[in-house]
Amino acid sequence: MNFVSHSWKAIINRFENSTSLPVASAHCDVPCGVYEPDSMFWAAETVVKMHEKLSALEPPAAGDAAAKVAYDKTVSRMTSVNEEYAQKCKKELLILWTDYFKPEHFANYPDLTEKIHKATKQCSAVKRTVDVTAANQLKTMVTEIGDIFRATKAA
Amino acid sequence: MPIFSRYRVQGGSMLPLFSDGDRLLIWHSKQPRKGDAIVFRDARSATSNNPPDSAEHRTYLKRVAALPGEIAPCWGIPYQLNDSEFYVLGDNATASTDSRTFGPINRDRIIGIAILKYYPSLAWVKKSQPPY
Repeated sequence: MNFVSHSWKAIINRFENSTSLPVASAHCDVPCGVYEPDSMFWAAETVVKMHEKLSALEPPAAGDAAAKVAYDKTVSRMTSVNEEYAQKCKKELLILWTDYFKPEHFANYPDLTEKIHKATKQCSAVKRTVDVTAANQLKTMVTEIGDIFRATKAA
Repeated sequence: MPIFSRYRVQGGSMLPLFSDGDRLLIWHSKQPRKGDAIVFRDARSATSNNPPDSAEHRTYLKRVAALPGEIAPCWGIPYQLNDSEFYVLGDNATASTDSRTFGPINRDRIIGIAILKYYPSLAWVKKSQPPY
């Protein structure tokens, strides 16, 4: 059986170079000290989703106590998630700013600090309001910073 | 557009069925059923110049745990999936970043369904439920 298995692997390896295959990432969160922009994207996208959901919520009819309780709970939970992920987004941005980006990166991208500063301020702004446009602006800002991150990794 | 493509697994979030280095045959279908292992594009940075189906986006392997219309616990809260959203989980719960964290994925992000593992050994990929 081992011989069959070994032969099968040898045949595949002969006809296929594994490094040429696209990767299907089975991503894990094992702490590895590797910096990545994915977490801030997820956080920003979550914020967008919460703003969309909160904006779409219909208030209950006056006098419907049960619906009012359900409505209040939904708003509370979505607001809580929004607060959590806006804060997470800010944290991830600041980790990249303080720990990953180096002087040469700031030299090559002179407006990088300003971009991060504006994005972290936007993280606070999306906590204060229910505004899908503001949430999408945060996502756009985070995307731009992620693009710079990737460019520095590729350099 | 080919009907099938091959992918190499990277990471351990789909253990024990899929290990780092496994190679899979993917059937290009956007109609997965619950329990199917699917490959999808991470289209968070999609723009008008880089649409969700662009090959530029990173691809993930996860398992479909809830279908459009069902309620699933995204971000720790019950979330009603719309008619194009899927809830995906890694089989290895403690080492997986999935819809619990990043929310549902849209159908347009799905590349296909894993149907065959052909390396290091040959085996059909069966539907199964995440063990949690």
